Amino acid sequence: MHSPILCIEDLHYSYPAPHFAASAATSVKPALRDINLAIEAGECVAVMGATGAGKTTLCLALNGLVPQATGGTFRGNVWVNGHNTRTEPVALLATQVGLVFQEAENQLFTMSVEDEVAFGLENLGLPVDEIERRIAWALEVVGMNDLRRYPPAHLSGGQQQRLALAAVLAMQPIVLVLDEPTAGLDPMGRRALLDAITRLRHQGATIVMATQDAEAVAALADRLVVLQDGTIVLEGTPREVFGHVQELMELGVPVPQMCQLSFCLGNPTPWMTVKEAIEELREHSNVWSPQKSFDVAHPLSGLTAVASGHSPNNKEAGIAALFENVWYRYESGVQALTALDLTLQSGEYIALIGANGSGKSTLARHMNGLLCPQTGCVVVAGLDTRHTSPGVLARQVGYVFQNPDHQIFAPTVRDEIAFGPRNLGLSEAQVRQRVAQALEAFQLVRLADVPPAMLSFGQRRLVTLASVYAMQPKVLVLDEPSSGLDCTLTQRLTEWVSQQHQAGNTIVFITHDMQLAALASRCVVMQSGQIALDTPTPKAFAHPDVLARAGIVPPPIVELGLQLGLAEPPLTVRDFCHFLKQERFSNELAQRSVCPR
Amino acid sequence: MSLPSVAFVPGDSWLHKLDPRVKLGFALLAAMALLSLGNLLVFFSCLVLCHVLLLSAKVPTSRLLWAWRMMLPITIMIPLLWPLFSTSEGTLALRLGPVAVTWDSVWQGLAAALRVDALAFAFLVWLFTTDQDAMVLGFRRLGLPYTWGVTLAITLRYIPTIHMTLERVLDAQRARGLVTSYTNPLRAAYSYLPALVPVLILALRTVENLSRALEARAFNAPGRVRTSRKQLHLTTRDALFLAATALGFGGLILARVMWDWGATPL
Repeated sequence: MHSPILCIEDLHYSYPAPHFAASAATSVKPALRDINLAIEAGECVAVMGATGAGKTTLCLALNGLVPQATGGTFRGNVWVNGHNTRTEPVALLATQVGLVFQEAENQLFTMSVEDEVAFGLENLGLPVDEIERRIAWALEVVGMNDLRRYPPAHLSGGQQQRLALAAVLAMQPIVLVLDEPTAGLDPMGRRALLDAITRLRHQGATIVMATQDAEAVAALADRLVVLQDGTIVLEGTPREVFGHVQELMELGVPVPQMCQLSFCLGNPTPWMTVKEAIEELREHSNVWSPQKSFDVAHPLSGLTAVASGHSPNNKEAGIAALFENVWYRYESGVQALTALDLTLQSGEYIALIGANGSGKSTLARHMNGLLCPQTGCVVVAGLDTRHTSPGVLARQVGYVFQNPDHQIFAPTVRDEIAFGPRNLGLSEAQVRQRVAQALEAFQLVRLADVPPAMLSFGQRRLVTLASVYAMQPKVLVLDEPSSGLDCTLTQRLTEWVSQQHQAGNTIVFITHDMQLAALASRCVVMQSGQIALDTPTPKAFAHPDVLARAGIVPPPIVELGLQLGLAEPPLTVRDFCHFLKQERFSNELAQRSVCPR
Repeated sequence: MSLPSVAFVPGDSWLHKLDPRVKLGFALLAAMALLSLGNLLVFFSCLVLCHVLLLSAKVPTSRLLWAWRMMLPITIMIPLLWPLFSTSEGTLALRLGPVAVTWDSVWQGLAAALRVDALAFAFLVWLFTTDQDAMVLGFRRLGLPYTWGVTLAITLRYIPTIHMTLERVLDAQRARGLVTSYTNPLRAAYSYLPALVPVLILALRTVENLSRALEARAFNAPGRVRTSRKQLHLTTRDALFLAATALGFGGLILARVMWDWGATPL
């Protein structure tokens, strides 16, 4: 029997108490409790859990940063290859545990890709020949050998993440720990990173991966550990754990779409891949035809309104925003928008998708006047943005930025939410009323007097949403709003967006998450500063070739439909189940269908 | 969106290939000469020399223009304010109420502004053409602790990042109706508060994350002697450049000390 390479024994950990006055919202509770885990050499173990479940803290405990850098109360032991991470200096543990942090941008500080990889190796005092050999090997594994002289700051998010992986990998640690490696990456960047991790798996690397990416876990992990409030609540192979669909949903842990589908169809063993699902569906279907076209009406009443393009409360749809021959070039010389024409009708729910650098955010920033077209014009709610200040446009357009920390500054949540309405020149009574409504809408009443900077990431995101909501704009632009959110908070976000749409507001939703993009009625695909595709969402996903050119990877459920030969595949698991019913999918799986709420 | 910065401009020119110690020597000798003298012609010549060097190293003009844009407030404010506070006597150029502006003070203000610009460009010759590793290695070979070099290199690396963060934060606050274009300077300064607080918080978080990332990559690992894949070797070209620098700037300093040449702007 093999002895484990990594062993966690009765681990308890609490962060040090904050210095400011304790309150209900900030009281210290254990970040990790009763953790016992043994990992064999060559195993790939995924750690999942909602925001605040303890995933990052566990990662930091594996290389000794918890408690050596963080302080706090630590009980139990973490052993890596016989080294106790509590007592061995972190810098010396680097050859035992390689930790790739969540935000790659914050760990890259040299001026070239090869210098970045060399940094750790030079710190280890390796000979120059060995350093060069390892640089070449690590960059080969992550597929970046052709970018050796490139400045890391100029790389895309996916490339930066792969470089961070290479920099750690080159030190040849016994265990590789990846904290949210795919978070915030565009689909192509994510795929390239997962390919690199797959290559490492084939080379026998021992990997611990904290993630919210259920599809990645299904594809890569040998074992899955689920955390809740700092303790392990589920453990097993991904197939075993993902079989607990309802339990995971309640924990705020995402489940792969194929597992959701098999659960909805009442299948006792979850499907992990599209291939498995296809085999199973084909085996049980006697009516399936590869040429079958999906030309029936949208089967879900909840999404019918969205599919029609306008919200039901916006009968007299006008033009919310008009882009006419818009060109924009940054000072750096990057041509961000080229001869762009686009009309957004009032009450539409639009997904704006595309690879990093395709021009999505540049387009969105033209809507509230943060950028003005160098050629052409943008008219929002009848106002030409070239002649209207962002302050005036803020009455019409609410913009939720990707990083909530880019706007939080006030001493309390209440003041933070009041900032926007005050800038609009509302009376104090009106400001108080709007703040109260926003606090209520986002269930932030109990946190109203807490400093927002001290809240969790998810709560900070809610504060930023509430602060935009309080301005009551007619057009809402959301730039990657689900980034860093867990399953539960993402669902709350999409429900709120749906409510805003139902209330007649225009929604522009920028996202890399195709499962969220699939909820919109209209899909605008950006590629190199131009619109590659502008069509109702079901039709957009029926053009995999165009999407592939634009760097978009369809969600697995769409992939399944496409592989089954559907011309317009259903976009969500629920749609797929209804489609099977509607099409009189006569096998026993469909008869036992239990759709999620 | 990439942002121009004081950081290294990748290249393979003769200036890039010079030993970092020699380029640092150039900047320091230039600084000594510029601080010793007060002559407009010297300052102007030094600026021209720095531009010729940088352009010969194929540093893009956009970077040079960026540097000028950054220095524009100082370049304008010093000549405007200097005559108002100068006590120098001489031919009256202008009278602003009780303030008498003399031609001497006007030239002194102009010289002071050009001195600052020339000093900045002398160091930009070093910064724009020296990569981080070479810079750190140069410091080490000059006997400075390795951590000092890394600290300086990281600071330079993160200046544009912090600047970009400020731009993003300002955008986020403007999207919520923040107005910063007040004519009253106090009100304008106060209006930046909603942007400065998030930048400060983000900067502190970045420092914390970066220090953890450095430690996780064996920075300052006890018992390890750091190696470097890049080595510094002084070449004939380095020696010639250093000799020309010493001759030029040393000559100017000598002329100032021995014959009091170049003490005044004209």
